[in-house]
Amino acid sequence: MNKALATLFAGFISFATFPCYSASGSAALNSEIVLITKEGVKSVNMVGGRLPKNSTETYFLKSAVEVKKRPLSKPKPTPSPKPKPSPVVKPLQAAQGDTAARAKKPTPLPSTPVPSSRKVGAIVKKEVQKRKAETAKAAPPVPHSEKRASEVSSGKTTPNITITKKAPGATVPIDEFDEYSEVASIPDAIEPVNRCFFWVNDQLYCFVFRPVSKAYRVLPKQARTAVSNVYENVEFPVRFVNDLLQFKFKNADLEFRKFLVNSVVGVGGIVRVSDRIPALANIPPADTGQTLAKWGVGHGCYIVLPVLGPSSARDTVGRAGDYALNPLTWVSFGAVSAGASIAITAPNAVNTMDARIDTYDTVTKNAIDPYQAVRSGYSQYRKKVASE
Amino acid sequence: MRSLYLILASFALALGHLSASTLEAEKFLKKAVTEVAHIADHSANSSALAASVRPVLMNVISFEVMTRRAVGPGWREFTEAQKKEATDLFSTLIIRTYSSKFTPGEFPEINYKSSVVPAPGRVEIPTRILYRGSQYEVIYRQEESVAWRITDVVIEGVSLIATYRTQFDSQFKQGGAPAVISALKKSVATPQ
Repeated sequence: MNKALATLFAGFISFATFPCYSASGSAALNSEIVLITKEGVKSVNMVGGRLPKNSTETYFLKSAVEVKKRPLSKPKPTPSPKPKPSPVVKPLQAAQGDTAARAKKPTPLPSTPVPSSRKVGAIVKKEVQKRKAETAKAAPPVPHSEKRASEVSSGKTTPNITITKKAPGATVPIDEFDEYSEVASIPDAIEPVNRCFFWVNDQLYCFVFRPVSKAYRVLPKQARTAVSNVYENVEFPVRFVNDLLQFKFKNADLEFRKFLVNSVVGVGGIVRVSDRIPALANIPPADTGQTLAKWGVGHGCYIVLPVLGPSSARDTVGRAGDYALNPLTWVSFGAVSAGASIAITAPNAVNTMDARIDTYDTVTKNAIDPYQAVRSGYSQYRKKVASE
Repeated sequence: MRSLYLILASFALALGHLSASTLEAEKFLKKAVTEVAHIADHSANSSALAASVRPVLMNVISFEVMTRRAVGPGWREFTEAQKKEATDLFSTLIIRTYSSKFTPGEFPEINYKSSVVPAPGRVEIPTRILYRGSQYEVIYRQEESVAWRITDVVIEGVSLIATYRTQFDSQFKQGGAPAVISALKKSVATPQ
């Protein structure tokens, strides 16, 4: 038993000290030794004082030694020619020193004693904590937004960014450059055709609508407001039906009351009395395109309609629905003549033209690419309407 | 029970800090908007307004943040000189767009709604503006860096930055930073 223990101890010490020739120091040639490997305790027959080449034990031994010999940290450059042993290793040497003193054997190589895996773990942990503390001391805490700004201005990606990026529970996208990447996206499969119609509409705005709108402004503001109010009141079924279709019964009820108040008290809608009643003043608008969006219909592709302007596949269908629900369309397709039909619908078209031109100018005047600006603006606006 | 009190107390403290910070942002915005509206009210025309309102807006809006978000990831490839040039040009465009919405002699009626805090250091203040007979929903997005600064204005759901982002993206894909700067220069040079 004692002999077996002595062999085990000798084998352990020797393989810890010599990488490949662990058995050569203390064991005799062609003898059997016991090795402690990753796979457990192994008994190995030595050939000529060495382990057999490419044997499993050699592999285990090598790997075991490699793990233990892995450097714990990068050596710190010291100006003195004789480097001091690092403070991390010191206690280990002291710990191992007891064994060396008991054995009273001078070590054949000037190597530091190899710590066990548990000790290695503890040392690594200690070293990581120490480094973290040093980094925290060196870099004082910076406010969140300021930190981002400094990172961006320097143009460098530090490991810190990666860490914060993966932070769980982050509500705001950390890469602020990508914050607006998906805000205004709408598929534009027929862009060349759309650009063509956009150009046509732009010419119409410049040479037809703008002069007409300018001429219309000759009318007093009160008269223009009255015309606008009447048409808005007449279009009540569009909003009412769509509110019902979207299950917004409260809004439908408010729309109905607004229609009654404006029609009766406001003399057929000429005066918008509902503006003086807080509950009726700001009812969100509703249209068929919005209803389709509420039902889960996607935008479809972007379409620029001649004369009418920006739209999408969904909203074009929606526009048809709005026309169908509009009493003015009923009149136009009814018993009246074409001339009367134009006379009924034209004032509304001219009246809304002013606001449309104003919006168009706001979006395109300072744009880099007016087509893209209008497309983005339309997409965002419809997204907001659909979310209401 | 004691720990529950502690949790409640810490929540109350956090909320207190949050509301104080939000109030500060609201106060800052009200002051800035009133100042701009007063300048607009006394300006002769929109080009004169753009010039007179510029110093105020420079202290109120974070143009650097606006520009880099409008450009997107391509901003990393801009040199320091290009960043500065792009920011200057973009700020001119923003000021021009903003000031073009004001008509001298008309004062907007602004109703401030309750603020939203989407993330720490960020506040969104929704407003309803009644101007020249029309109502607009405008959201002011603010961020706290050295002080509160406006980083985006969303009018009827249309974000100023998002609108420019689409345009800058295609410019950047065509020719990188020089193409973006050249497009900005062209737009700034266009007479109003």
